[in-house]
Amino acid sequence: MNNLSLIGKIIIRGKLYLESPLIIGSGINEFIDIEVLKDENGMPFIPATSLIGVLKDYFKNNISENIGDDSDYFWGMSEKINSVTQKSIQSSFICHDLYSTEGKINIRDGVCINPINQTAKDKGKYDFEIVDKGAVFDLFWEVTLREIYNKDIFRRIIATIIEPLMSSKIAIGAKTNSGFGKVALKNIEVIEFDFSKKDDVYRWLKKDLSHGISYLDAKQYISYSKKIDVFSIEAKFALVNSIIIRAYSEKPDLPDAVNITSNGEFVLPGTSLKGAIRNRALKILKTVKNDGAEQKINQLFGIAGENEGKKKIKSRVKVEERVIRNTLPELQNRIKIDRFTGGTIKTALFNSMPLWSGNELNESVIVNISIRKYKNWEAGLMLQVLKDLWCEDLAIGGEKNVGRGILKGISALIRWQNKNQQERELEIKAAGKGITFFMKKSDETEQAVKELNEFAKSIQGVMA
Amino acid sequence: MNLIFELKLLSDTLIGSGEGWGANIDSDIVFDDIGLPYIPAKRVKGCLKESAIEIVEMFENSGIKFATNGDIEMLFGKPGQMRSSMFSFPNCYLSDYESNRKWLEWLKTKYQELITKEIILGTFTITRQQTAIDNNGIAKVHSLRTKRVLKKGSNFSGKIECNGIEEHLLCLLSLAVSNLRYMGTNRNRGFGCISCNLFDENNISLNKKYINHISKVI
Repeated sequence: MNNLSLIGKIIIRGKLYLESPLIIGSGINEFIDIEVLKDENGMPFIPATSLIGVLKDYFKNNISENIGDDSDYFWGMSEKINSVTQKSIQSSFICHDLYSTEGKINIRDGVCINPINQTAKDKGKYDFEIVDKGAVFDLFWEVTLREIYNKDIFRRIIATIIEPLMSSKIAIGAKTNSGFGKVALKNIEVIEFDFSKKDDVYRWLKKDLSHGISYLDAKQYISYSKKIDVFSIEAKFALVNSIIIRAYSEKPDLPDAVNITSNGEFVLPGTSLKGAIRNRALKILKTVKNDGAEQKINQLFGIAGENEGKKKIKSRVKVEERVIRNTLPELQNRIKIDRFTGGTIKTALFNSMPLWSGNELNESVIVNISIRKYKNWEAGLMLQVLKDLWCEDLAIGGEKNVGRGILKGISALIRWQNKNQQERELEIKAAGKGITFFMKKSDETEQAVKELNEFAKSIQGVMA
Repeated sequence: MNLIFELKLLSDTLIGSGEGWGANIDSDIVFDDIGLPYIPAKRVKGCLKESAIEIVEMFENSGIKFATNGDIEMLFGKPGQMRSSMFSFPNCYLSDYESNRKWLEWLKTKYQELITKEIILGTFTITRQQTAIDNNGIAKVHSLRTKRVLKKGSNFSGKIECNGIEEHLLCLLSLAVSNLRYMGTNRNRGFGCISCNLFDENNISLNKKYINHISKVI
């Protein structure tokens, strides 16, 4: 027996549920800007490479100890030693493409807004296909165990990558910073084969995968002591009157515009929200000082697409796509008036179906913003944007000219880490015309508010 | 004695030719002069040999006294020896290859502009495009590449020729066929998931027969 001989297999099966829309581009874009990847029956699927790439990145960034060669044995590696020789190891981790039998494909469209005059940019219209949330994909992993691998380390690596999938910390595909591609692993089944047992060899040859258990008993590698430098805001808002993120219908008997839906529910798309936040953040910075504001915003919110050879930057701001709750759609007919005669303009009847809350106390919209590797002034900037959203100043969505999209703050949960590496969690609640602060450790509230104030003040420092 | 080897593609599969196709495709599959894809015998034999080695390792490991490394040499031959292996492995073709080929050759002469190599190849394949993402989360420059892959669901088969084979070698071969589950490029990343079967002249599945046989040995 040589040291590469086969000693066992671990099979992981499960279902991967889409919790927000998914975009994995096929690279073939004939009719639409981004077409999603489909198999020959037109059903969407997730290529193994897309999932493994994200998991590998997550693993390498979060691992707390050095596990040496076994990491390379598990993930595979390829390294140029010099111009002639190359060292490579085949990965022992096999992942199948993830197919679905019921995934629905929809088309989303959006438009790029010019931050100066708040109107659509010329040629700024874009559209893309999405796999709607609720789709279920079959996941199948096979890990080959050989004599020289450390079986326990392998089991721990698997446990480490299963956990974030099960607690939906992982997003795959494109536009993950706008809330797309959130997945959750469920119905997990672990089937282990130990080839020192005759019965397991027989089961393996027979392809008998029936002896599965629903968990993997191994300790994870993730260390929670590592600094998590994320500043996040989760804020709940009420609608002052109505909101509409327009989606246009092709059928003549339907309203001209309705709110975008995802899997039958009205949503506030991450792209709309992020666009509004970005433009407002730019406006705030420009108010402080005009020079260099755009560059600073690009560094924070990223830059992509064909912009004259500029280097692409990945955004550090992430927003989530959330369902708009406690609202009812209602049709509103409108007409155009001829300014000169005061009469109606012919054929200019139009209608839309915005969402109305009916009560200013209902929690309708949840805004979730987080910044990775944040700097103090960036956190301060987000607080300024939160203030504008909270105080009915920054409207979201379409038909803002007739008062739609105005939000009113109810509560916000702000999380950050202060200079002494302490986790801070401060809650803000609306109280009468002002706000009040809450913290679990109430004696630190004052200190925490002071820290947030320092964040806000540091904007001036950085723009000076 | 002739054995029929069947191979079904459970996912898109890239049996690489090591070549590209003009400017469009970076990694192309193997196909013949009129554009019908096939799996070269060397590929089949190599994969089956590796699978057979795994079977022997599993048996040694679990204490099933059935096959040894010597049996693998008997089955697949040993480099540098006078005696060849007992088996002759075939190229594996799509079902009805011979008649399809004749029809396509006739069509190609009759409708030159309609039936071309690319069109024939396009019926059995799709292209997949990939980029690599760097540590900053953006696509690496010049990393976009295109692969032509066989569509999942295709069936390939070929005749394995052998003369005077001992039964326990046939059993080892059948088990190696059952154990062969991946083939081709990127087989650990979604491509090349296959399921194989071996039938004798009377169309009896040897996989099933010998797996049952093994259960008795155990």
